[in-house]
Amino acid sequence: MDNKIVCKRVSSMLSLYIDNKVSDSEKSFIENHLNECESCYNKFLYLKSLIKSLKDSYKQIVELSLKKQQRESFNIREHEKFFANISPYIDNELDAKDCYEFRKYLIKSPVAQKELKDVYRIQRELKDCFNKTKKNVSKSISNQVIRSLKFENKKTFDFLHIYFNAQIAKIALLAIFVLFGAFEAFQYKDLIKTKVDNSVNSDIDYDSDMQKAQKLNIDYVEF
Amino acid sequence: VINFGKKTYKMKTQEELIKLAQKDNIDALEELIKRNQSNVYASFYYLNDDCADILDLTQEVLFKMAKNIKNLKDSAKFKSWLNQIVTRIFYDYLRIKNRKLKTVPIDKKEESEQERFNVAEVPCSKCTPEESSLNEELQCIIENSIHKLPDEFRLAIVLREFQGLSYEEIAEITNTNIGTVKSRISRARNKLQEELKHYIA
Repeated sequence: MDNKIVCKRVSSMLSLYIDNKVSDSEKSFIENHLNECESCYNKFLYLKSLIKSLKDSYKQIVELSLKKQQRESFNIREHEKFFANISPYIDNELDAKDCYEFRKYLIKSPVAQKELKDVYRIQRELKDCFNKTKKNVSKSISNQVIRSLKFENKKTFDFLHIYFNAQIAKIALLAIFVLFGAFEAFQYKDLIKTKVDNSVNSDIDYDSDMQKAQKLNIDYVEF
Repeated sequence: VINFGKKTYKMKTQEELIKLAQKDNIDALEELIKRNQSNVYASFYYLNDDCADILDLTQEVLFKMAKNIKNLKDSAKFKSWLNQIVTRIFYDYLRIKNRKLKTVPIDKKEESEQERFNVAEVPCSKCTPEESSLNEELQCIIENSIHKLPDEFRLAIVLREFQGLSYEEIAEITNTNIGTVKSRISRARNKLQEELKHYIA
């Protein structure tokens, strides 16, 4: 009876004892009893293990949640990086390190694979679209350009032509002048010659006049 | 200069043509222009949403290309060089366009209430009933979604996707750095993806 009462009292205090919230006298009393009473000791062990497992599981949960949080945040960052690198990746503009990381992430994540596929698809559609437009362009756009180019070319040619013509004309003019000058000179020479001839003739005339006078026995009076 | 006849020029590669054109060979230049016309036209088709000016812009680019071909030092960089001309002329065009009032073509009828309703129903106003096959409709949708992009994004995506230039070349052409080009292309792609995801399953 007495024992039972003590057992009850001890068991009510066990929880406090485990948490170390009892006075020294109570502590020694509980320890004494636990040494004597087996059932109470078992109870104590059970309670202790329970609390320990509780604490452990709590710790585990905390750890797990922390890990998860960390992993998720890392994922988001990695995905953002991946997303920013899609465009340079398909243009082959990523450096080797980034490219390696990109591929690594790509293998890991199916979402990333789908996104990359979509981007490639859009790119292909754009290129198709562009090529179709290119094919439909009329081939006569260049005609006018070529015509105007040729016209300009001709114009420069014409200019050269005129320039050369002018040169030729100059030379011709010069030649004409020279010829004219020569002709003039020739004429002038003729004139001189005739003058000289005239003077010679006049001499002859003079002579003949004298002879005539002698012939006619007329006194030829010299002036 | 020996004239081989026009057919032989068609067999030549672009680089050979460039080199010949730089030596005042007008037939080679002609072939070069003919080869690049559709490319330039298609670029402007996506860069500019106003159909009326595309032809003028293309001819301007081709003419400039022909006149300045001698300034091109490295014939391997022809593509980048040509796109530089395209970009410059496009920027000039934008500057003028923003200053001018919006023009309305005379031959285009004014939309009535009924027509406007129809347009709202059909996804694309450019598609006529004859060509309204699924494929062409998709093409119209793609064109429209490209036209909706801001100018810089559109330019970057056209130079990248259609002309196949590297980020470095695009950065040089548009006078920006590579980071900017990267983000522009990435954002343009995202926007296109958003627009087109309902149509491309």
